[in-house]
This record gives sequence, structure tokens and C-alpha cells, in this order.
Amino acid sequence: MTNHAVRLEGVTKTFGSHTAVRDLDLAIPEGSIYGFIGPNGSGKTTTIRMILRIFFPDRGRIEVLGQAEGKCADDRVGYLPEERGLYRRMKVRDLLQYYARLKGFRDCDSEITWWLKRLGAEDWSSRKIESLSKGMSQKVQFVASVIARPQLLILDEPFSGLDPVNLELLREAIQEVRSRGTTIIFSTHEMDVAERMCERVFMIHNGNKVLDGTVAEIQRRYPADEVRIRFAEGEKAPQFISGVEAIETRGPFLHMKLKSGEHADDVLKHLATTTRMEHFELLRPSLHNIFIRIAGPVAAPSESKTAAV
Amino acid sequence: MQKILTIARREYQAMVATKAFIVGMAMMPILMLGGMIIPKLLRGIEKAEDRRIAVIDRTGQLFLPLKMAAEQRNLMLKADVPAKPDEKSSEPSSADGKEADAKPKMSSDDREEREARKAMGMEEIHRYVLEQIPAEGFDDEKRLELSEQIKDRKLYAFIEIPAEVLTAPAPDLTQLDKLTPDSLKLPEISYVAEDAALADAKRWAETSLNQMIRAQRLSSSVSPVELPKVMMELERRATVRGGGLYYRDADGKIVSKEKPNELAVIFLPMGIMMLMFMIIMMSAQPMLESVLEEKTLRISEVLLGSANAQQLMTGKLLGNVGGSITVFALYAAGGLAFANYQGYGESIPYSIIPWFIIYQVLAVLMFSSIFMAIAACVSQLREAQSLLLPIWMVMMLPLMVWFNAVREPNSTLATTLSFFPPSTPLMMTLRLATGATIPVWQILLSIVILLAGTAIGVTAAARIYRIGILWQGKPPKLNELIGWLVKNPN
Repeated sequence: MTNHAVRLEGVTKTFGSHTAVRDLDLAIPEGSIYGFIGPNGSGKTTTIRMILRIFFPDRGRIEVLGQAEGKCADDRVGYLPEERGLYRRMKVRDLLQYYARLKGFRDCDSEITWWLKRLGAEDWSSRKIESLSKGMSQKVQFVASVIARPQLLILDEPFSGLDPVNLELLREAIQEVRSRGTTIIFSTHEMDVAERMCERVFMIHNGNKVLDGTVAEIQRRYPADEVRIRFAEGEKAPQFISGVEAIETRGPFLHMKLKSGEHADDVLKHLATTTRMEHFELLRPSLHNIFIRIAGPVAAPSESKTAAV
Repeated sequence: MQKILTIARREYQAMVATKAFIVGMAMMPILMLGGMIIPKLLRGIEKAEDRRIAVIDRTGQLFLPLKMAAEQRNLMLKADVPAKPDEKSSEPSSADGKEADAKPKMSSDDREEREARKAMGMEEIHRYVLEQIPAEGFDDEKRLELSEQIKDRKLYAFIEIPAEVLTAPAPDLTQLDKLTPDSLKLPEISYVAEDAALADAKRWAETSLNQMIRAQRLSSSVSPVELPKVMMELERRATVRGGGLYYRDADGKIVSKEKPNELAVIFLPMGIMMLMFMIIMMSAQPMLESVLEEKTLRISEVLLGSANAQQLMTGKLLGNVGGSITVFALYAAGGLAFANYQGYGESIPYSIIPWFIIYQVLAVLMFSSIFMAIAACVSQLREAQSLLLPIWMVMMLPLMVWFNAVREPNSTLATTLSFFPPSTPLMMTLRLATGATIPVWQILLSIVILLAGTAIGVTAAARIYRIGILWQGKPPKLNELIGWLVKNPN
């Protein structure tokens, strides 16, 4: 039987007349990277705050690292909030020491030195936070969340504001933390990031869980409904193909969206007999597209900022 | 507990180990000394000048004696040397002693008044030079002309003495029923200058002229031989001397407390109350900024990921109280050294120090927690200001009535304010610092009430704080706030 780092059973949380999370069940296996997906206001942050025991559910049960009781976040849980979260006037090392000590980890000097070095930040140790750039403070913030060697690490949008080099550095660091056995909850509204980082994802919309499973499982559940084709030179794309709902040109490729219930095999057969093709690819739906299907385009988060991971 | 101490330690360091704090601390004695020295320096810079005063004497008899009085005063100004603030100073220096002997004799009242005026930097140093203007034909045109001269700084003031001050008949004492307050008065003398209301010259002229008028008016009914004696009798005064209560000392002798230094009696209690006020401000204000920073930079979320709101608030308050005690220790040490240097050492009521600390700790707890709650409700300092105003007003009540409370520490007003928790710390400190006997039951009751007030304040603040720090956007409305207060925070 799999052990679970976090287990939520029938959890409901309301604020006044607003239900932020409704009857939520969730089980996060130990050692996994679990993606929390959903737009702002979907209930992600409330769920995270309940796992951190900043909020307490109105109904239901929450077990974190085997503990169901507790008035305060477990010292074995590390947390990186979405933005900032650092005292501007403190020096980097003092701040990291403070956060480590708050978690009861007192002998933290060598750990701080190791992490700062690991992220190429060893020279910042005595600099004040206010003198750091956004990317630099993002790294300090990450170190702050892992400094006490957590067993469960909650990262809320850890990549926002990072350039590609630092983003890669941080991605490796996250994998390294995970390789030590730490379970990671990875909250993001950027589906591509979730798709590339997480083994399992959990989607929440209007307080309800709408998806939960491995990325592959989810994609299997939502069959491929799009093909990408490149015709040989001189070939013209047919005006009409039965079973195709919409055709769109993207660069050298033609994207065809299949009608519900139609199979790509029929399209391939049809095209193979009428034209010459250089490329035919069946596209799995992205999490983004799945999310749009479930929640509708209005609820879908913007894809424009999606970073390459 | 370990977490609370970790939070308290950071809070203490953030409050005390900052450049602003250290600079502020270093500046304090400089400011205090400056407050004493600068008026003296300014007086040194301000050169004594001749102030021309025109006199229109319609009696024809008062100008000459007034001019002589002015010249005598000018001579005294030259002979005068700054007196020691406390004649009973415990550190007499021989040089000062000689100078004190050499200066003209002043009555005890005059000396005290001079001391008080000197302390407020109001001592007049300028010479008065009197000139007579013919009374004949002195009309509004001339008044305008003299006023222009005053504006141009060629003249300082002009005084018009009506002839009736000498010629007005004495009230008829045989018909007492016809006497009215007005009929007892002499006609008014007019004094015109730019700062006519507060001028020292006006007070001097009034005192001197009245002496002369009295002498002149008496000369018609008293023989010239008797006149000097009568005048002298009129001028003699018996001083009313304030003394402390009598008590039996250790040897069984009945003694009176030494007469307290009057300046010390007024200003020391106020100084001690101001110290309390400053410490509360210096403690509560950083709390406001600290919570606001944690809220706006989402630090509170990280902190709440490690400790609960109660631990967080307790730790912050603990660090804050520690900081306030440090401030007290530094100010008190500096203040005591300064008071001793100034010769007020004996007047310091050392016995109130333990009470001071109790009141201070409770006051800091109460006000800091309220400030924390306010900071938790807003997202900008600007929004906090309007919520803080009523708190300030209540807190500053004792500052508005301090003078009355110093004069009558056991008055109904002072006693009532002592039992109103937000003003208890300042008011009780002020009353205790006057050295008056405050009934022990009042001290204890005030502490009990303050404890209850602090407990209610901290509890309410904690409820608002733990919801407020995660509250984003618009400040909560009053009904929402009340909801936070009564609702189970979970």
C-alpha cells in the first residue's frame, strides 16, 4: 500500500457565503511531485493553507505526514509562497537562519552555505534582501523553504519572474530535493510547467476537484482530438474532410481538430489516398486544453506566460 | 515556546539593533542638552539692545520717575549674572557662590519667577530708553506716526498716561453702597507696540507706573515725612512658602519634607510622563510597520507556515516589550544622569520606578497589540492613520490635562482618568511622580483595571490579527470586524 504524505477526506471550507473548497478528497503519495492546477480564486491557495494548518476545514479530515491533529504547521513542511515573503531589511543569512530556527532547525549554518553555493548565491550572504533583484530574491525564497530539510515542500508558482538560466537551476534544485525523498506540492496556473514537472496533477475549479491523476492517465481519459500535418511541396490541402471540425494553419503545419467521436485513422486514410504528406502526427491534448474543456474558456488561465521547462 | 522566543528575538533585534534606533538613542541626550543649552546660546547670540519707548505723560509728573526706574533697571541688567537653577543645589561651586552673592538681592518670589521665565527662555535682556513726547496736541495723527516708526523698528513702543490717573477723585468710602468695581479702578494707561499683549516692557511699565501713581496719590493725603514709610509698608510682602507634609523620621523626630523645588515639581512629573508616552510610541509604531510589512510582503504566510497566529503575536509582543524595556533603561539612565547634572537629583522619585515598569509593560502590551490589529486590517500605512487617530486621542488625554493633574494629583479628573485603561499608564505615572500621597488601593485598582483592559485589548487584537494578516484588498468594514471579534477564528 502506498504511503501518503497528505490525505484530505471530504474537506469543505467556507468563508461567509462563499464556499472556497467543496467536499475535497485528495491523496498525495510520498515522494511524488504533485501539481495543483487552477486559476486564481479556484480554491488552490485555500487548500494549501489548510494543508499548512493556517486555515482549518469546516468539515472533513486532513492528515499531513501522518498527523491529523495540530494547531500549527508541521515543522517538516516547507512553504514557498507565490510572491516575496522576505523581510526587506534583513540580511540573507540572518533571514535564512530565522526561517530555519522557526522550524526548529537550529544548526543550520552549513546547510545555508551549501544551498547558497548550490544556487550560485554564495556572495549574497551578507547582503540585504532589498538590494537583491527579483530573480535573486526568488532563489533566496526557495532556499528559505528548503533550509529546514522538509519532508513535504509546498511551492506556489516557484518559477515566476525567473530567466531561463535560473529557471533551469531551480528546476534541478527541485528535482534534487525530491530525490532526497521529499514530497513536493507544486502549485501553478501554467499548465505546461505542471505537465513537465509533475507526475500527478490535481485540478480545482470553483472549489471542486475536476481532475486528479497522473498526466498520462488524464491524457488517456481525454483522447487525442487533433492532428498535425505537413503536406509535400506543391500539394494543396483539401477544403473539406469529413470528421474534421476545424482547420488552422500554424507555420508550415496544418492543425485539424476532430469532431467528437471521430478517429484520426479515418482522416489519415482519406488524406493518404488524396494527397502526399511529409508529416502526420496525432496530438495528445495538453492540460491546458483539457482544462478549457472542463472549465470553459473563461475560467482557463492565460497561456501566454508559459515558460519552457 | 522555542518558536515564540525565536520570533521575540527577531522582533527585538528589528526594533533595537537598527541604525535608526541607535542614532535616535544617541540623538536623545543631544536633543535634551540642546533643549537646555540652545536658549542660553541664543540669548548669548541675541545682543541686548536699546529699546526706545515714547511716553506721552499727560500728568506731567510721572515721566521723570519712570525714566529713572528704567535707567536703574538697565544698570541691574548689566550687573545681573545667570543664577543657578536651584539655590539648594547639592553641588555648590565656589565661583557660583561668589557670583550669587554679588548679584542684587531679589525676593524669593522674584527669583522663582525669574527662574521659571528663564527655563522657558523668556527672560528679557533688552534696555529700555524712555523719551518724552509732548502731550499737547498728541492726536490720532501722531499715534499713526509713532505706529509707523514702530513698524520701521525706529521705536519699540509708546505709552500714553492720562492725567486722570492722578486727578481722579478717590472713591467715597462713606457711601459704600454706591461703590462699583469700575469706580474703584483708575483710568487706563495705553501701551502700543507690535507684541503688546505679551511684552515684558508692558509688564514692567505697569508695575513701575502703579508704584509711582500710588506714591503720588498718597502724597496728597499723607505728610511728606510719613510718605516713604507708608510706601515701604505698602511694598512689604510676606511670602507664602510651600512645604512638604510633616512626618516622623527614623529617630522619632517630627520633621517636614524639604520644600520641593517648584520647577522640579512641575516639570519632573511631566518629563516622566512624556518618557512613558515616548516609550509607548517608540514601541507601538514599529509594531504597526512590522505587521504591515509582513502582511504586504506576504511574510505572514511564511511565518504562519511555521507558527500559529497566537505564537506569532505572542512572540512579536514579547520582543516588543523587551525592546521597550531597553528603551526605558537607556532613557532612564540618561535622564537620571542629566537630572543629577542639572541639580534635580534629589527631586527624582526613585520609588516609582517599579510602578513605572509595570504600567509601561502593560501599556506597551495594550497599545502594541491594538496597533498590530490595525496594521493587520489595512494594506497601506495611509489607511492605518485614520484608524489610529481615535486611539491617539484617547491615549493623549492625560497629556491634555497634565498641568491640572500635577497641581492637584488627587482631583476627581486625575483619579477618574487613572481608572480608564487607555489613560491609566500615563496618568498614574504622572500622579505618582508628583510625590503626592496616592492611596495604595488606587494604585492596585488601577493596575487591576489596566490588566483587565490589556487582556481584553490583546484578546480582541489577536482575533482581528489572525484573520486580518491573511486579508487582502479593501480594509474590512466595521460589521466584518465585529464578526471577526465574535466568530470562532477557525
